[in-house]
Amino acid sequence: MSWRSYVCSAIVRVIAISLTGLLFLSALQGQEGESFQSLLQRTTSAFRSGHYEMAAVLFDALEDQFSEEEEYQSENLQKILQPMHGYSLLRAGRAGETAELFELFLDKYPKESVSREFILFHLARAYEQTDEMEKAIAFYSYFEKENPNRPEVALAALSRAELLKTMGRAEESINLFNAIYAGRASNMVRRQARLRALQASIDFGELDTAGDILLNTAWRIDTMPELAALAFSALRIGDRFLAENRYHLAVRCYRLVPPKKVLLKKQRERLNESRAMLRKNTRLATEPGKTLWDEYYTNLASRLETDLETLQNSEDYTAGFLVRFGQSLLLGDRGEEAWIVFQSLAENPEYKPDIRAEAHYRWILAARNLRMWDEALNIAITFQNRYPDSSLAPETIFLVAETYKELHNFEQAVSLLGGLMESYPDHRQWPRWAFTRGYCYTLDEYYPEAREEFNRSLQKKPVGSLQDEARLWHALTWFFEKNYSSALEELSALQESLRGKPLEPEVAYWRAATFYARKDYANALEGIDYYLKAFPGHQRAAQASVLRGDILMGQGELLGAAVAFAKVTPEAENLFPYAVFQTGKIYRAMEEFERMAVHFETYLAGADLEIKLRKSEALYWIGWAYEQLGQIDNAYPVYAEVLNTYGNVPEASEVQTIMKSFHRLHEKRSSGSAESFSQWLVNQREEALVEEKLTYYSRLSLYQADLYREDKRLDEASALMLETVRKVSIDSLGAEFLGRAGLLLDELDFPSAKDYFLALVERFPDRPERAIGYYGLGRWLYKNNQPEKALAWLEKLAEELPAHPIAIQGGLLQGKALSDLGNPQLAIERFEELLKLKTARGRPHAEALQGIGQAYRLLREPEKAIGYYQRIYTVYRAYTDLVSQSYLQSAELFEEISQLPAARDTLKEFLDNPTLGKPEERNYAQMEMARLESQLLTNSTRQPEEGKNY
Amino acid sequence: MFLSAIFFGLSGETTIGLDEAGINKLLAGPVTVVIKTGAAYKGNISAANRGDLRLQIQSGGGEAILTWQKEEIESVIFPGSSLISLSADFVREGDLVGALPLLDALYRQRINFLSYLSDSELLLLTSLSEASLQVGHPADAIAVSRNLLPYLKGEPIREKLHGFILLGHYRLGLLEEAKSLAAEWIEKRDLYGDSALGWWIRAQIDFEEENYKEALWTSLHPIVFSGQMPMEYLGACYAVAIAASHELQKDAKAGLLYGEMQNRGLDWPIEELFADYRLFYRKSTPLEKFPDAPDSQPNVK
Repeated sequence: MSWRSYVCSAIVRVIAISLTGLLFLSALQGQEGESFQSLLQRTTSAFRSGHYEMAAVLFDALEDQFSEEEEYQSENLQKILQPMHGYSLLRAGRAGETAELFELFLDKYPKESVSREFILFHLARAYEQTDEMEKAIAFYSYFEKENPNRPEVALAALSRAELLKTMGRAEESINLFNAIYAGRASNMVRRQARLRALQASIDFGELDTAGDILLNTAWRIDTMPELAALAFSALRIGDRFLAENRYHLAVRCYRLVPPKKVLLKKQRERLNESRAMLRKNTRLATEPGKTLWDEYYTNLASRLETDLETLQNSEDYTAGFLVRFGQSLLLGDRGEEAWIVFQSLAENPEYKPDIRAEAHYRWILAARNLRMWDEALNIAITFQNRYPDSSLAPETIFLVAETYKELHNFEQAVSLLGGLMESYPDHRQWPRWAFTRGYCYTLDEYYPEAREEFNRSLQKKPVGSLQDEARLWHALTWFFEKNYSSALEELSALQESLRGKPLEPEVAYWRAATFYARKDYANALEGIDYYLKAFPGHQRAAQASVLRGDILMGQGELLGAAVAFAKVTPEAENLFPYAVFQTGKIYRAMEEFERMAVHFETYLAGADLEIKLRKSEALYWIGWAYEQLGQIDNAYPVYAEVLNTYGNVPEASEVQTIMKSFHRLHEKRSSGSAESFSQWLVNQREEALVEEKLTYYSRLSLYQADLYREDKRLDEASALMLETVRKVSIDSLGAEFLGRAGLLLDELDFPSAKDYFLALVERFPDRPERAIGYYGLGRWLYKNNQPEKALAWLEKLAEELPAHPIAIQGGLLQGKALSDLGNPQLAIERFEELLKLKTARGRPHAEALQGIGQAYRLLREPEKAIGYYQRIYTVYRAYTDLVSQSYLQSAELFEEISQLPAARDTLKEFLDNPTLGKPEERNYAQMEMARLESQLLTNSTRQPEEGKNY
Repeated sequence: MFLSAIFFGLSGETTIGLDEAGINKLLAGPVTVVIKTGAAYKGNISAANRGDLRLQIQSGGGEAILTWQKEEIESVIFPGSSLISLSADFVREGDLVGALPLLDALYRQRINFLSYLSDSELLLLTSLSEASLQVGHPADAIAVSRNLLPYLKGEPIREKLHGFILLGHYRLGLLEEAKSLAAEWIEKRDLYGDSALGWWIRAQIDFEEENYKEALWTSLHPIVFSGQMPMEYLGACYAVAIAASHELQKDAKAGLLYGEMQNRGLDWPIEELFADYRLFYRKSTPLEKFPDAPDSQPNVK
């Protein structure tokens, strides 16, 4: 029989005894005259109705008044009354008396089985209340051992575990809570035990255990009552994981934490559910163990009430928690999610301004994490507008500057950093700002300014890893400036001072690279060999192998260089094809054509080859090598394969060169019966159009247009190009066609020319054809009266691709733009540079001379200007348009310096040559000459003139 | 009506053994109008609107028309109330397909008198929308939801009906309307709610239109703000986010989300569109690789 049934039956039995023994019991009277039966009835009635305090007093009265009576002393009655008495005392807060009573009971009736379990449990409870923990634990244990199959065992175990926790016996209590969780108790009790295990682990500082428990339990948060307790535990462990840089685990913990308003709502719901459960339990009066379960639910409801009250009165944790949640996402490389969290905080007016500012700041970090630079910039600018006085303002300005740096807007970055450094001279990040400013100057190629900033950073804080970097970059600015002596001096000093530090390998690499740059191959080789030996796993190892190859090539050690290049593996990404092609170059120089073919064939056969752009190039060299070996039949199919495989790939390079080679071989191979190349070209174009291989179609058209051009069929060439432009979308065009089409469209004044140049520059940033893009954009902007912007593109062209044929045109335009912008001196320098170039001989030289003449005219130095014009009509007579303009310009200048006869003679010389000048120029010259002669006549009538000889 | 044919099918019988005629027979006959004074009148409703109701009754061998203002009426009792409890049983059991023919018949019987129905009757009829969606009749779901909406007061059920309307539009392929309804849905709902329907539909449409970036960002919103409380369509949002990440060549992100989805015990949606992505991540990225995968966690002590 259960103890609960026991209590119920006890009441029934008491009543039964009262009724059946009425005769003799009625004779018993209390001190106040009340009979035993009456008092007993009142006592049991008070007990039954749950008025335990009253019941306890009445039981005392029974004891006081009738203890000497035989009926009262009856063993059967005592076995019923004593448990009720003890329980009433316990509920009345007189636990000590309960303990005493129950201990006596157990001594007196050791074999009593009916009420034993009840006694054991409540004796434990009584000791718990009198702080006799060990005894309480012992009696709970007896209860558990003697009633292993009772559901209330879990409640006893829970109580025992709580006591162990109170006593500081961490491991025992956590283990016991976990054992209850793993046991057969109801889900609700099991999860409660698990929650207690979690809380105990936290309280005892066993945070790893707490983390395990938290993350490896199916909490069923949708039904469990103690949501707030779980949420706060999760918050605490999440914070711990965040502090330990275990971001994914922190995110998992934080997911168990709802915002306060949600938690309040849910916690209220759970409290109501628990109360309902308690009511339901109370109604089920016959359920075994009812009183204990009543207590359990009552305690639960009361705990939930306390939790709810605490939660209601506590400060809202939501915003701070969300910041940490977002931070975990951000540091866990989940930029998008972090962005969402921080944006939601930053833009929610319900949160306090300081939290919103912090979230806003981190929102910028999230945008940067995603490399969304434009967005990062906008968010940062909004921050500055919203929180100009925030303590995070300097950090934010720094982020903005960093973002400008990433966007390659170094000027803005430098300017912002300058302002920042001035506004916050004592900020702890000042040295970093100065370093970053120096770095931006370096990237913008303002090397002296960069050095100054690195020095300022070092002055402010001379020691630290940042300062080592500042010293290295200081040295590298000399390198970039091509001042190799200064670079070497500093790098050599750094090699000593940074020995054993993380930057030591960098210094070693750059030192070798500097020796190489100044063509000191012996020292370069020694340096790079030292680097490769001393720092085998360093990040620049592949770069160093390439450098070693280049050094050996410089020394003429071609085979040694090939061995060095062979050490570069495909993992080195872009360096790998570079090394492969350098090796190819070596074989070509050594006229090892067979080896060259095999080398490129091996390269192409590589399974792990990721870089496909240069495959077509490699194929070209295979074909070329076969051609050199006279193996036309081997070369031809290689070229055909390139065209077939890569002809329609916009990114493939060298397709036009391959087409040329293919054309050459086709002619060599074709007999009278074979299809002619021009027929092949026509057929291929038609086929490409039908199969919608539009990139290939555009390439075939370009080749055809070039053939027209060779035949001087210029109009047909242009028409074909325009027709192709119409048929093929800009996205399908390769670099070569984009450039050529852009130039043609620009010549014809089509505004769409700019789109072609832009596409070329944006889609092919590493290809040499981009030179046409730079030039085209410069020319387009110049034509559209934007000489300053034009200059930027032209300067880029001169810096990045000075050897490209279009760079000469770029240089001429650069000179003109400089003149237009009021910098004739700079223009002259630029033109003079062109005059030094052998590749610019001919018309470009003549145009440069004309440009210089024009510049001197602007500088009001007519004599010098005349000298340059004279060189044109003396040396470059083939360029009649330039010669004509030069004659006319010279004549004007002679007149300016009052050399009227020379002016007249110049015009006469021009007019005497019938091949010179357009009709309007000749008419102008004739009119001018007539005017000058008339003026000279007039002058001669006044006084003789002493002229100068030119 | 539209739905009946499916459920009566070839045999002409429903799963409860009643054929269409049987159901209609149960629902035929006069209604009883109980007015607030306690009096009850049996007859046929000749007209009803939100303001008043007219009942045609037999009176002394002839006919009479009784008219009441809505406020005077306690309740209107329609014949076939046994079908109400029967269909409620089906709904309670989660067997909406089984309930559908009954709900459909009840809805047809009461469609013109919705303002006179009790809250519980109206609530029951909302299951017809859900059932219609379940059997692939989104247009019916939209129509029923829209008809019921003006008479329903509770915000949760109204939100649910708006959800059915949104889902109905998406299932019908009315993508522009669905987008705009989803935007409205998102605007009105709490980030910490119990459904991610609007986010999912918006993201799903973006994905179908190959706007992968938008699809990713949209689907991540509910993922970010969801906790352990159940959230409808959260698994679907994960699937879109994973597929969109994959299309954006963010395989590591897709893998991480897949691991997290597994860890949270969310089901992969059944849409065929996403089947390949699941296979890809299940095959090529074993769970151990992800920090959130259960296997990578320390064991319970």
